[in-house]
Amino acid sequence: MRTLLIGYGNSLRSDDGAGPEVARRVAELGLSDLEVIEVHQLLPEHAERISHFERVVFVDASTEEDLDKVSMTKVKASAGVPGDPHASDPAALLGWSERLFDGQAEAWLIRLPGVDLGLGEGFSETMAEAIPVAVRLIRGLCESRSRLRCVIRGMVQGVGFRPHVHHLAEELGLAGWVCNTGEGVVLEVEGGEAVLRQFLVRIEPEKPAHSVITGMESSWLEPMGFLGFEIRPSPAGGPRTAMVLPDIATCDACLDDITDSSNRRFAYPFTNCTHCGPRFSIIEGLPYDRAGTSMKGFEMCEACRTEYEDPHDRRFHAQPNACPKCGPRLEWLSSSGESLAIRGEALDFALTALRDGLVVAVKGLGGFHLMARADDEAAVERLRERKRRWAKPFALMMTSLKAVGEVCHCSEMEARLLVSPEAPIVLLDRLEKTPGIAEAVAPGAPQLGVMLPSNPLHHLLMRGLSFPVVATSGNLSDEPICTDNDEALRRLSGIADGFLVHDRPIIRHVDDSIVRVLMGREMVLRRARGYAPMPVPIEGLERPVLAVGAHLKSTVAVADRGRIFVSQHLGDLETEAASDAHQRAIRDLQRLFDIAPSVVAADLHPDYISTRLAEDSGLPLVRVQHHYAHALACLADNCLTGPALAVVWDGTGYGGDETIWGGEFLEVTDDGFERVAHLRKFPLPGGDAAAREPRRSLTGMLHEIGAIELLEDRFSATDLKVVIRMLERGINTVATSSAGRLIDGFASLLGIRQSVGFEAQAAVELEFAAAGNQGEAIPMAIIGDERPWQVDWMRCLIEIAERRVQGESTGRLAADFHQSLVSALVEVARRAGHEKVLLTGGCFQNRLLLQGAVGALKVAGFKPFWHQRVPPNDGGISCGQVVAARRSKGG
Amino acid sequence: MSKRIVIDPVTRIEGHAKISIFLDDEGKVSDAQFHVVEFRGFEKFCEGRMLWEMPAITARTCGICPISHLLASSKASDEILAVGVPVAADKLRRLMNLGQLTQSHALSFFHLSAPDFLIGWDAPVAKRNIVGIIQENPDLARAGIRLRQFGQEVIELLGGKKIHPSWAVPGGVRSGLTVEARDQIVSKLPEAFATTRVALDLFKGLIRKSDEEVQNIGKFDSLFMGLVGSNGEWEHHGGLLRFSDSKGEIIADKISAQDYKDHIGEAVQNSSYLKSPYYKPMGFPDGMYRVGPLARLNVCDFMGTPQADAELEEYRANWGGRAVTSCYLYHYARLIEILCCLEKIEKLMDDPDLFSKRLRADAGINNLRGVGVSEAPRGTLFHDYTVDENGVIQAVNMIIATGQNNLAMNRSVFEIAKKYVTGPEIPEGVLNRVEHGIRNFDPCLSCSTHAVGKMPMKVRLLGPGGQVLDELTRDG
Repeated sequence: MRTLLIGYGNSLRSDDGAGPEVARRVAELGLSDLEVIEVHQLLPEHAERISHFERVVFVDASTEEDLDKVSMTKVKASAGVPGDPHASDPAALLGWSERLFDGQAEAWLIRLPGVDLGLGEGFSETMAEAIPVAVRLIRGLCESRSRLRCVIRGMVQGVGFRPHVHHLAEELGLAGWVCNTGEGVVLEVEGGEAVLRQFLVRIEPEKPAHSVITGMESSWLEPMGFLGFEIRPSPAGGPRTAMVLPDIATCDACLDDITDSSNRRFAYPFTNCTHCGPRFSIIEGLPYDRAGTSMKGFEMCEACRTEYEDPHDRRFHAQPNACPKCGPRLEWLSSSGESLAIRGEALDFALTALRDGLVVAVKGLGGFHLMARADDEAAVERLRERKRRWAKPFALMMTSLKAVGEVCHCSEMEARLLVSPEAPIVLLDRLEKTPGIAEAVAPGAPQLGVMLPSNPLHHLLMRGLSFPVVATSGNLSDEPICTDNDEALRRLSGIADGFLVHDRPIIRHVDDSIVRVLMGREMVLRRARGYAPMPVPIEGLERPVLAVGAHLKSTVAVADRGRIFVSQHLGDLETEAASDAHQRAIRDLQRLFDIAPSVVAADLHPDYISTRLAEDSGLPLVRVQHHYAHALACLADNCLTGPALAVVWDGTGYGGDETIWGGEFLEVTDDGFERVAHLRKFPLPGGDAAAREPRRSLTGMLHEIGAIELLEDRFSATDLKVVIRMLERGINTVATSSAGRLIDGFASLLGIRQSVGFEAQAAVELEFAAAGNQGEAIPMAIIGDERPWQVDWMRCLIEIAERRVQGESTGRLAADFHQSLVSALVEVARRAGHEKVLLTGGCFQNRLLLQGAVGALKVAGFKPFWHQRVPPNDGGISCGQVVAARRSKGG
Repeated sequence: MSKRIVIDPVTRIEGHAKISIFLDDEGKVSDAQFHVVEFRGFEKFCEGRMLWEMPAITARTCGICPISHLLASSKASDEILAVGVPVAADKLRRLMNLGQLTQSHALSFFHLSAPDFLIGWDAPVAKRNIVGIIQENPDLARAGIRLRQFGQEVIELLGGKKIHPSWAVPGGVRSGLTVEARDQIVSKLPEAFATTRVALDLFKGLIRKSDEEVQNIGKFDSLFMGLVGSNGEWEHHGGLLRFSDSKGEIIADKISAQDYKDHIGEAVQNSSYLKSPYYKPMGFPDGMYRVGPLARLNVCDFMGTPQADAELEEYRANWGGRAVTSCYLYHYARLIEILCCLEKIEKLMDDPDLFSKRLRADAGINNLRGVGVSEAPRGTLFHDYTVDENGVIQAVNMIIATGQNNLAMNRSVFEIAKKYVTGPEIPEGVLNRVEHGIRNFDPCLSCSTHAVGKMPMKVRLLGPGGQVLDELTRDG
């Protein structure tokens, strides 16, 4: 959309110069289809200029008192005369543009809060903060249009919710529709992405007085070209939502109850109502009533029963309804399992232990957390040592949104997520200085995983503490999270110094979900509490399917009648505990959703536990190539159909041709896929060890191109001999086209990391090293006339090695490498010639790669798609397998 | 008993402005004042800056005529360097000023003033504005905007699309014209001429029926001042200052800008924070003089371009010879000036000097004081700088056109009020004439006073004891 930006104001009048300053900064971004003018004031001739554009954005400083942050409003043409005779105002200019020059531009006014308009240069603190906000807003506005679909659950019908949506959409100039369905309110709005984001962050705060949102998931889809906004009639006979809802973060009303000393639920950690509380984690079977939950053992007291039976009470048929008199109670156990205190006293014990720097196991909604105060280096180190988790960052539970802002960058979108009913862990960029966060929490990591309390127990804990705590899954590394008290005592003995438990059983473990905001959209990296088991829609599914997922970060899925129910995150299937959980989840989902699969889908990998399980199921089996499943998951996540080019980059996946795939370009059609291209293969010495040691990847790459001398002294002489022998004789060595391993190899080359403590550590650090550098691509040749073409990284490797020797900075070289990957990707897309390009696989959790690829693809005229609700990593595989099984003619 | 009159504010001039009309015991108008609040802060702000920065900084004071400040500042700086600028640089500066005069006059005529005489004096204020023009005559409104745009393009083609071009510099200019830019200007000249011609014909037609306005909207005796070329021709950038009187006699001539203080005094009146300059030999307030288009046409002997000279001849023949004294004719003078600017631009287009590479004289600080003068659209603009040996600004005095017209604006309001205000009840048509009396001067206060946020306009009627009889405020 051709856009004209007019920043106006007097740069000699301090804050009044904000308009031109914003214009100047936006001009530097070099956005396409955007013309920028800086002016002292608006003048009549701008009316003519405006008429040549489809959109005009006015940027001005304002001294209006109610304006305390950047505001963006739609401008309607006025037939009036501006107050100021020599200067014009946006509405009048727009009016003249329409009347005199047939202008059609849609117009926006962005106002920045002006504090100081005195004679002088430079800006007040308030304005200095507002300017970059406005720049981002404009940048967002110039992004392409999109369609946002939201499914909103809760008390959203019969409370004026649709008019609220209508009003907000109109105010923001968005087209689309809203309607009531069995699921709640479903809506689609279409417009510029920045405006859609405004819509997203404003829905909840501005909702009607009597409405309650208990869940909201959104998807960004291709625009349809809606005209106007309409309230659509409710569809007749649409699918009734199965009554299995995710666990919902504590609502404001319940929070009020537990913090009001006169309320009978004051400080009661199991408070809930129809709008919040446990669901998925306590449901044993359907129908969903108290007898089918782990609350069945608690007889409601008189008062609770009255609430439960009163249609006007907010606890009317709240199945887990409870109070201190009749409900579950807390208990504090010593490290050896001795009961030392109950109820409020137990909470006090836990608080004291945390304050003293001890490790406390806390039983929450969906499982145990291990907690330790995050500002105490020794406490965090102790937890690391005991949990045998040496490097991987820990998640934090913070006391408040304000506390989050003191250690992390937190956008409106990210803040919304933190306080949403889903309340996931949000990955946030940490500030340069993070006072009160021990180094050991996330050593060297550029991000922090942060969450806010989401159940009454966590609220009460955090209210009793003045510092954040580490809140990591209560398990040994790689095992599923503990749910049972005895099991926790057994498995976590030696880790926790004390246990804060309760007597409400957890029916199924549900970990904390992890979400990251990338490119202004949410990307679910781990789908569990708050999200599971809400379905992903799928069209054309004619038979019930079970999909058993992959191996790492596994999930399973069942699907029927247009919906895919993906299980919560189950973890790596490395241990017996994990594979037990995997099998439980399969049974669980089938039972809960009453789906008897007629086909099972599994990975092509013959040795995966999940594959074997599928083979043993007795059902017709569909084997789905790993990267094809990624591609289909991405397709389903974006409600798309092929053909499309899928760029599937991850660490590892069975290719079916004796090689390990992972740097794939697949052409996905309605019938299947074709491997269009892949990264040049190299031998990977040492099998699994290679994933832990980036230097092994590098060795394989150098061996492949005959430049082993560049390896320098990354191995001891003895080890080197062994590795070289492996390579030369092909012992325990497999060829791979893995992008993850290639990135590892470059990380090793640049001296960033030779061995890793957790998956993708080298890649994360390489990305971080590149930050702030403008990368320039080193071209990668696309070799071969026949498909699959090979993307040759040789020249890139040699050039970077040489420049490193010449002393060029690691940051610049890391940036160049990322840019090289992006540019190779676009080149393959050009050759493949599909408009839709899917970006999937774990590598596209890398912001630099994703942003670079999306930007470059758009510039080159492609439509890039990436992940939103379904994880791009192996957590999304089961979803893709379902789609494949639907497509497969076999089985 | 004192009377109280409410007058609508002056709606179409910029700045924080107030009009006060004073009644005597008999309820007759005894005085009128147009007040503006000036910030002296800007001159202070410049102290301590480097001379080299001054053209760019001063250009940022005003969004209406940045070029006038840019050029006056450059000329003051030339004096301090004690250099003559290269021939090409002088021509390029002139070209930019011609663009500035064209666009500013177009705004004043089509946008601010035309509604009064095209829509009618007695039309309600809601209609008597540019929107009214758009409704009545969209072609004219469009043409007016495009003429303004033409002037703006000339400026941009020289100075770039920067908000305030730091193009003119001490000693010359930074860059010349490109051939493409020349071609662009040439291609747009015919439309600009045509629009100007339409406006001239329109105004000449109207004025025949507007004798009342000519006689009553600010017709009074005063002195006139402006730059005049070495042959007595109309001038806008070079030349020397000349004063003439309302009989058409030249009373002072060939005054160098450096000597302005011998001829111009600056009085400070309590009623206004704006300095009121006057012709020194005649004292205050008798030395009241007017600047701007009306004055420039009165002081010059001829325009120097054929079409404009023909128009000047007709104008003088009909409206008072060498001393046209009605402020209403400022509009007429503006149109003749636009025509002259276009002709001069057209002539310059064939001048090979515009593409020269020799554009700037280099020198250090050779004088510690320099005065630059240039004709801004509203009248003569002075920049007076004192620097130290390193070129650090020690003192700045700026005299702007609107300030110099301050006394005349008061007088204008007084004359109109005297004619039409006879009691507390005033029909809107009369108020409109009072407003228009101010508008004739196209006062732009944005360099003397900056419009920050809303700018209320106030008209007050005061009784003999100075008590406010009535006051009306219209939000800006």
